[in-house]
Amino acid sequence: MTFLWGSATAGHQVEGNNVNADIWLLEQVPGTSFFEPSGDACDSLNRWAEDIAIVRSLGLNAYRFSTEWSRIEPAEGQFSQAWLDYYARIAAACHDAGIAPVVTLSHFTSPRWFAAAGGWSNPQAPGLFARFAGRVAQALGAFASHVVTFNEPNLPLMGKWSATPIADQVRTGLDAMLAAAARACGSDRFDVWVYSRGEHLDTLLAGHRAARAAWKRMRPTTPIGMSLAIPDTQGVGTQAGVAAYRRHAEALFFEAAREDDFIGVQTYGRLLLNGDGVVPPASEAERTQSGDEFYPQALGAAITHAHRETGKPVFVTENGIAAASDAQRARYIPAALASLQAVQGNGVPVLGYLHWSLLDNFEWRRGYTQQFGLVAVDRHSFTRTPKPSARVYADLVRKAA
Amino acid sequence: MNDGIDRRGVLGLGAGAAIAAAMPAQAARRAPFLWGAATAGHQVEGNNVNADIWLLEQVTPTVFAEPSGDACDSLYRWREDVAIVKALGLNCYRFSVEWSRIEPSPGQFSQAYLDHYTRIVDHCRSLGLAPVVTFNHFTCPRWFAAAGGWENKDAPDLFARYCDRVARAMGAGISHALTFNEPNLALGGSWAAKPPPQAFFDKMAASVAAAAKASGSNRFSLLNGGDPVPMIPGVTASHVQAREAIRAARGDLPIGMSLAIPDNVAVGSDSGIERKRAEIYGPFFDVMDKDDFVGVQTYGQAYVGRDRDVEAPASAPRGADGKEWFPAAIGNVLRYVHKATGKPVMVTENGLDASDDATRQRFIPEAVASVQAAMRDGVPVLGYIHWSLLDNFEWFSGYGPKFGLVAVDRKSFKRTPKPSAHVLGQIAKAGGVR
Repeated sequence: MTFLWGSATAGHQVEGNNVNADIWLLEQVPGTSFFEPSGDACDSLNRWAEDIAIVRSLGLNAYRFSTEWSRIEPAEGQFSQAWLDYYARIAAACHDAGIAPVVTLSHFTSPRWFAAAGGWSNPQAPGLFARFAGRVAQALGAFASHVVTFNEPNLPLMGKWSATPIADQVRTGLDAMLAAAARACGSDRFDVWVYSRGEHLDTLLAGHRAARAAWKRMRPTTPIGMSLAIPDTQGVGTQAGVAAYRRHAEALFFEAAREDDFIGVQTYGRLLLNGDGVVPPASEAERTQSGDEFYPQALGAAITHAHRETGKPVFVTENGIAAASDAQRARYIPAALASLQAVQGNGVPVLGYLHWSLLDNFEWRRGYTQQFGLVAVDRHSFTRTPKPSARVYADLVRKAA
Repeated sequence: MNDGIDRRGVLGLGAGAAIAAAMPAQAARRAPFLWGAATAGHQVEGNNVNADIWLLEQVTPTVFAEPSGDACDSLYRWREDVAIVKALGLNCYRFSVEWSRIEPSPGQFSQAYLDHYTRIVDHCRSLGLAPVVTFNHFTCPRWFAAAGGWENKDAPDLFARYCDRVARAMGAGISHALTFNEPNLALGGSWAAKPPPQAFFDKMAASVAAAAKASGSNRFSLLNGGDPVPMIPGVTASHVQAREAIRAARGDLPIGMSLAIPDNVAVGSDSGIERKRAEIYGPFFDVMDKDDFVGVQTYGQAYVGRDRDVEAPASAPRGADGKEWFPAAIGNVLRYVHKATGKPVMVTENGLDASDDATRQRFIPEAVASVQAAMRDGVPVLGYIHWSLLDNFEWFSGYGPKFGLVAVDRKSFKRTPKPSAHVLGQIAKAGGVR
């Protein structure tokens, strides 16, 4: 099978005005933890054909996007044929352009009504998610090359071990924001997985399995997996911290992934762990725009680890860097791809590589302050301008082919 | 007919718009007569999830027969709609811009949606169609309703700020601007011959309370969703302030507002017709003194007794099915409105709910003939815009009523013009009926 070279986006981060989504409400409540609201994002709601044209112009053969549950099912049980048609048009346009559409069913956002009903603490959640997945399969299953059920569902469990996700000191702020959202929709709860403590993991994994089954009933041959945030975890002096981290933030997900067709790997760098927890990078280490260590070679080790734990082919569904200077991204990409090709040489099966992200976009609580894109987006005109790093990536892809 | 609740529902089933020309009479006479068809955002776009009425459709209890859902998917298929208007031979398309899309949160304006509606305006212009744009067609953002709606003292500032953004984005291409669609509709309820039972009002109150709770507010206020009387001062003040905001953006853009006005007929020597007019149209005429035109939306006659409308007399004109049949009502209303205001008038809505399109095919020529008769008598009429282009979401009644010149498949959204669409198109191409 042809190796997939692509780039990724996610609905809420690029479409704009995703007003019925749980996270849109979180951005708006008093005391929000978000730096700024998502607003129009990249207006990809209107400009998705431009996005696909850019992917094509770079010589890539895959595009990952997500379907927004809150658009497709704006009220519980009320499905929108119009929005199903919309996403089917995107998938069909990719297909027609010779680009494999990689479809994420849930990229952090859920409908407001789902959050207000308890999110993944609701025992009905797996059935609700599976019903949605079945409708998406019906609408665009003929075109989807691969399906990712969840994007980084292990993120809440990385908690205290990770420098970038949810640290303990912001937990109070997140809880207040979620409580405000509950009040704003007249509910006594508002549960958003990515800002949760990762409780009810069994329910979430049941949702993964149920969605996979619902899709397969409609489209038995589509490869399905889930994407995990997998740093290159390295022990410092001892492997005890690494083992503890993996037990907590990875093991149950890998176990579930053993039933899947592939394991999605999303790697941004390495995580140094001693017996007590995270060891900060050396003070002289090069940093990225997000303050993380610049460590592109993490990718190869993460791929090897995920394959070893699951026995499944690996699909790199995200890899990238927040870079104020595009030159840093232009250095990151060749180094990351070299590590990928090295592990391929060792016999690890890799289905594809999708760079995060196609566009400078809405990076959740950090708003528009961090640039992960191969393509710059004017915040007023929404004009897209590919950066030099996009050309670097395109050249590497052409040489690899 | 009887205006208001009994006939078209509190929410203005099939409600219409208005037109006018800010131009002096001479210039108005030179402008081409507008032959058009109308839609409204919430009724055709679909998934207008941030609008107050969308929430009212969803809460328990609800007075809506069904939710709006995808409507006609005109959010995506608007080019098809405009193309149909053009293909029929009309020269005007009336549509509305959705406040809740353009300003999803207070003060957070969406350039993407301003661009969206600007594209529609520009596309109409590129095809030689005059875009008549309604700034508020019943729906408001959820946040506006939850902050007290038109009873909020900030309402005029909020509405004018939004109108300013719309006018600056697309005002250059707009042919005629309507601030409000039928803001007087709910007032008509107090004169209705057959007002809804108390149970209806109780259900509406419970529905609005549920919407407030679902918004984390102790309020949820919208026209057509409660006692309109305390809301009207906010609406009329908002009209004035919006008109000034739009004018500041484009001084020569004709501005008006559309009122729901039946052909009122006095019944008995003690008919309250003038009191009814003073109550239901007076507050709006009073603030339209600096408007350029009045939009007139007529769906039939009303027989006005002493204190309320009464059943049509046996002598009232009726169709073969026994229902009221008086397409010429619109001509009478145009005469009345022009006389009452001295303004040019525009038929911004006129039509009927007819599952049998043959009825509409008979209706249109008779209605247009009455408009032409009024014009021959000196009433300056700027245009005739039929309600509606599409079979659409008729508020409380859902998708039951058929007001469209064009049928819309509820699953594929495929548009199929009905014979009546061609009747109107032929009239437009001929410049009227003979």
